[in-house]
Amino acid sequence: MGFNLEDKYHLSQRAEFFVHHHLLDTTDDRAKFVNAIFSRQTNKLLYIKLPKWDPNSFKNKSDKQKRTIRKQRRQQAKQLNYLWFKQMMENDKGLIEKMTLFWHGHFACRTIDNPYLTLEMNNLLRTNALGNFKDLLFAVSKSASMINYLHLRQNKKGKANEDFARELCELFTLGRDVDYTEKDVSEIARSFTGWRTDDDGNHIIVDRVHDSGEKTIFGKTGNFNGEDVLNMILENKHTSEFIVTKMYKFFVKEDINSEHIGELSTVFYNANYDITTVMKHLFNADWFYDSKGQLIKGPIEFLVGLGKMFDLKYPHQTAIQGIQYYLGQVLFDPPNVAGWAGGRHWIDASRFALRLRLPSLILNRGYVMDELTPELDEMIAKNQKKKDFKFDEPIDWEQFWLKNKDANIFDLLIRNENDKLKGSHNEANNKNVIHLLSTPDFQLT
Amino acid sequence: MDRREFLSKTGIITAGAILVPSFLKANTFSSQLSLSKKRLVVIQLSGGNDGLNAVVPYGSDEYYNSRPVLGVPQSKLLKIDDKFGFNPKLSGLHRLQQKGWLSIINSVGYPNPNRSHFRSMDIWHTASDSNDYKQTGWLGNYLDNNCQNAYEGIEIGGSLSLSMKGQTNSGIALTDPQAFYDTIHSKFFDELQNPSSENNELNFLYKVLNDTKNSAKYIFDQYKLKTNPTEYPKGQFSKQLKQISTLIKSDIQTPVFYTTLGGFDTHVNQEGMQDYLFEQLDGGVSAFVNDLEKDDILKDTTIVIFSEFGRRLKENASRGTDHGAANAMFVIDTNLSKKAHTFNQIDLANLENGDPIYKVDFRSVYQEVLASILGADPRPILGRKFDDLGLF
Repeated sequence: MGFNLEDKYHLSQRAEFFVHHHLLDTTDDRAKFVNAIFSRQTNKLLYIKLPKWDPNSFKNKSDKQKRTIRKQRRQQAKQLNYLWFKQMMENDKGLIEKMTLFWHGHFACRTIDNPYLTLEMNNLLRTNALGNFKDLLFAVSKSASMINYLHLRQNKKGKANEDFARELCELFTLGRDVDYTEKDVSEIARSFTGWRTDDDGNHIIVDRVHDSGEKTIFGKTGNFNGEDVLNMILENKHTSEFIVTKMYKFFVKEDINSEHIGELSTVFYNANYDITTVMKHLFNADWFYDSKGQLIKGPIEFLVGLGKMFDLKYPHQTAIQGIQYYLGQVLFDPPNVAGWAGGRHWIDASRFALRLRLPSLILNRGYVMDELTPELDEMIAKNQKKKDFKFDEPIDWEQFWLKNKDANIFDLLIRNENDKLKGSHNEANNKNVIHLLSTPDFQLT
Repeated sequence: MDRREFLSKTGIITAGAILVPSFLKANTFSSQLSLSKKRLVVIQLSGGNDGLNAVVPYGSDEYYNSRPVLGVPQSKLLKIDDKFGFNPKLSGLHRLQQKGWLSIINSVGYPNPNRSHFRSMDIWHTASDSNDYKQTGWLGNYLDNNCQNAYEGIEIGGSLSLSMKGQTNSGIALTDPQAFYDTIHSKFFDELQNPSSENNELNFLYKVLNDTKNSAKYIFDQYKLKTNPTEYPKGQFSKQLKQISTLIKSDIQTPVFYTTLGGFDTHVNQEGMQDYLFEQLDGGVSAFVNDLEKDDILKDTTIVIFSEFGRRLKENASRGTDHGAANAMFVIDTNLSKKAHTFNQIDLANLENGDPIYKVDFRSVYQEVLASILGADPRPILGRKFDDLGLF
């Protein structure tokens, strides 16, 4: 099957948010092109300087001091939100960051009030993002973030807390009510009793509260511990099927095709859950290229894509976090352990109006048309208050045109077909670009 | 041009107040809200309101023993009966209760209560069981099953609550009808033509676009029809209720309104904060009720006030209270049944993890509101049948 320019746009926008036209003229061999995306990924861990974690940081402190600490931690976590958001726009990190975002929605932990947990979880997701799902599942299950979020600390011998056991089966591996029973959930909870982290965040099993007795899980009986359970779950092909279905909905389309899922699942399972293998297979599948323009962009995807397109710095942290909030996707703050629902759930009338206006707000002070005069521009700047979200970043149109000079702008920016829109927006000028970015069509990828 | 007009014309987003919109076809308006239906106004108290200090069980020793600092002395209470009294800051609600227009549903909650704000609020929004994760809200499901247009559910606020999100229809969140209109009002958006496409997602988005433009215009046109000279107390919450009242008075074809008052997470120094919030709540609701009563449209309106959970019976060491479970909620309606006044009950001798245990499932209240107020079949919306309360 051929591999043309539109296929390249499609692949690079799905896999790496956006890539400028001038970077795409490397090879017309699809497999080589896909491989090149994987080999240029750089794994850069998120980092901010934090004081060493002190488990007793709240001991003997006044309420006021506690509030100060909490506030400081929230600010640090917000700073991490901003750092990650910016990192997604770097050219050698598109795919790895997008996969990290995918896993963030899958192993959804709310850590926005704790920079330590935010760093831990985000970096372990990134480290394993293109690695092996087994390693990822083990690392997440042993992380302080998950142990904290799904109450493993409260899961004790004789007094089980089933929170983690249930979500492990339902949301992280097998899928709801697939091959497990309520009884399995209780027995799995027993297997994970005593799973904790020490003061340095390392995983430990506290023997005193671990239930080492016999359990019957998935029809097998033994003195299973948590790791045994994870291995049993991974042996089940439905785990592979569940994970690739989520990948398909995130990278291909919401309307799943069972043949494609079967194909991906077999590849994933036979590769012992190697994530790179299954993702390469997905990007090399003919059907992937039949899905152009059939996915609604998530808010982060939308903002990052726009940012890469114009090399934006998004200089105002508060503004970008406000927009994340209003569009319904704040990094490190998923709605619940099930993650973001995605697809049409991103869209309601309120958010849709904002999504349509945003490109013109960022690029042209809110004007979709050529109505912006220098006098008005000056007046806008003068009338802004400190509290307002500012969109005053200068746009380097010259660079945009340089990097995309041989592109047809409709083909570059819009993934679906729309003859009327294409016909009226053939000419390469700034106004047409702002128009195209302000369409419902641009909401799709 | 004033600042608001200026901001909306130039598309500047102000912090905490972003734009907003929804859908409809202009020819679907009927002139009157169908008579079998009333309007529902939902007021969400975010953060976990301490119902025990709102409707104080002064007849209970457990209450005063557990709250040596925060317990409201009997002498200050506005008496409801020989067991309960309203917090003195809730005199407006007390007045409504004395008139028989306010039902206190106490010990309301759900099995296996979750004490996370986010999770518990989701449960209240989606009417789900506590171990179930749903993506649509109870009012969103109502909009899906019973409405065509986004303007049929209006939330005054910056972003749409999960409550109001449906599968195919969702409500609209807006802070200002004009700013909302200006966001989506542009020659360019007006001239966008529907593509003839087989791409379902694309067609969906163009449908949302048309619905958004129509709803934005309709709401703004209605909002401009009448000025509302009624005085409301100062503050954001009262302003939101006034916006709702102004829209209701325009005869807008909107059965569901939604708004939020936040800040109830009173872990520390509860008294001052709660007094302040109760003043906002009581002042706003009283003005709103009076405003509608004056125009004789209160009889067509039902107000439901809820919070995601109550607070622990025992006060903490910081003159505050921690996250709890079962709580009190309020239903205001001029046609309440006698039975509606029998749900103010609480048992403080039997606690679960230090919290009152629920006696009424909140979904029973939803069920009655859906059936009796909104004229909808609750079954497909809530997924199953809950106990009948007989409030109306």
